[in-house]
Amino acid sequence: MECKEFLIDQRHGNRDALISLLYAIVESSDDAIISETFDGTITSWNPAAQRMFGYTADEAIGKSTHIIIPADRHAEEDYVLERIRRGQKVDHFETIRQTKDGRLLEISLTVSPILDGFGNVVGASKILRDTSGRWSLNALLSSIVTSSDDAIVSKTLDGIVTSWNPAAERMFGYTAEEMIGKSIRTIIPEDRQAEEDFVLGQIRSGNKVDHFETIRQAKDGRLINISLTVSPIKTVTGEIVGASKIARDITARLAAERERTSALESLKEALAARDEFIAIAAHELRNPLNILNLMWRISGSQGRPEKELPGKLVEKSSAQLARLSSLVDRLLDISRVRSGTFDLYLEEFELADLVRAVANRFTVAEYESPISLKLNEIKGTWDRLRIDQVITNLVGNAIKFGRGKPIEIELSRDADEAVITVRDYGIGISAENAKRVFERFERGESRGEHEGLGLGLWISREIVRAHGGTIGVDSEPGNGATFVVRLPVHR
Amino acid sequence: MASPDDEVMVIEDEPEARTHLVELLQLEGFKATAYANGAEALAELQRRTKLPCLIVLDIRMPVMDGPQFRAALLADARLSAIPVVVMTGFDPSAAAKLSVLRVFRKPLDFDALLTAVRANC
Repeated sequence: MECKEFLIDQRHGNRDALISLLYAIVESSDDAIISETFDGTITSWNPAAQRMFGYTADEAIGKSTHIIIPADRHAEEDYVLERIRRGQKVDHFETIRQTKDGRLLEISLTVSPILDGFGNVVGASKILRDTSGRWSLNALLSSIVTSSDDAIVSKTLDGIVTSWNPAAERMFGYTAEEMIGKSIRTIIPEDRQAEEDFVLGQIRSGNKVDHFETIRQAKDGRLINISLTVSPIKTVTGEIVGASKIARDITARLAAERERTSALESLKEALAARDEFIAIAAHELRNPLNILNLMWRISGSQGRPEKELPGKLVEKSSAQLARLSSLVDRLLDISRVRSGTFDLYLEEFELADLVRAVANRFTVAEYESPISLKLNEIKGTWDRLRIDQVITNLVGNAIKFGRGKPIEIELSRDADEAVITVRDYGIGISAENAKRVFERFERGESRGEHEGLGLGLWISREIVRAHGGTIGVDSEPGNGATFVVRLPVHR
Repeated sequence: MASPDDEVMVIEDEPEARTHLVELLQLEGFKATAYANGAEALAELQRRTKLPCLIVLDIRMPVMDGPQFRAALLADARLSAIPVVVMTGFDPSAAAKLSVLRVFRKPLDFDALLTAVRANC
């Protein structure tokens, strides 16, 4: 009877009945139940043990328990037997055992001392449950730690690293081999070493450090923004023996935050620029309206002198109305250019004719500045109205800022490009302003000096770019400005 | 201090607006003079002894704008008491800070301006 060692309670009255009960339990159990002496010799072996390990009772009894213990775990057996000798139990000890054919099994092991009729420990009974393929807390934890994207490390209360997961390797560049046994201070930048004293102080007092945002240094010197959570590691008795740290790389998050902030800033700036633009646009629209209003008031005045003939009034009104229309057109241009619905209507024409026509318009308009032309004939394919707009803008600026001095317009050919040059000898543009004049809502001039939306050059640049060309300015303050437009002859 | 005469001083950089406003004031029987910016007007005021009964001042002008001109008047004991009204195409609340009798928006309500002129000249 393999189970006779269980039959020890001589105080029990119905001894035979008890033996039968224990026998039935041991024989039908799904857990392997074996007993052994202090030197590790197997003394009983139930059918479940045979199913689990592949050895029959005949094969196992009398042999050393080492037949089912992997070589690297033989020391465990000494530990277990030492406890049993002292009359202590080993409860649900998770370990590995080996079958007859060499397979390794995950085992939950419970070992109890066997007492003789006088209470002396005479051997050990072992119940082994095969937990292979089942969730084990250790395995679960281990897989979480291994697959985590957060660095998870543990350290002693002196800050010596005791574990270092793959994410920590990736984040900080040190391998587990390099870090285990070393101080965690290895990854703390020089100017933040004091943080570790604080963290360890918190841990020693049993406190957690939660989502502490700080900076750590990788092996290659790179600084990493991390969010750090540190918790004390306690033994069953509540003694604090170390700390576990979870570090999340928040470099990307911080960069995204910075990007958002800066995007918000530029949005605010754009909004402020637009508000200012609306104010200027309203002012520009009010001026011709103001003049029209005053003119019509004069025409209705009873004391109106005879010299103010209706024809003259109509002519003057037309000029103001044209100015209003042109302002409205330019406002529309902005929204068109902005929304990208800026189509070119290309046709072949003689650019010299267009430049001449624009110059004539300004001459007829009785401006102070004489305009001189030096034009080569160049036929090409462009959007006639848009190019007209560009030249009109440049000549208009030259007159506005030209202090009444002569204005020179040239048209020449440079390889496949038509080059339009508009030169004035007026107030000029500083180098700093020259960079900005083509931007939206910018004017080289200080505000208040000259009328306009401050958009002419921006729209001109967009038109020239749409033609595949370039526009630039060369100037020094006090000596006038030279704007050069280069347009490919054919698109 | 010189006693004001019946002259209205118009300071406005837009030539046509300036010409028409002066003409209208003259049609209403006032003596009106025109200046293209604050600097021109200030030089004239400092030169002469007789001061205008009212100054009609534009805000945005080259060389010396409305606020600069107003500050210069207030800094000069002899000129600081001259009544000033302003006209602006911008936000009138900004112009209201200039310690002036009235702020007119453009397009100008000439009848309203006339009331102010009649009250002061």
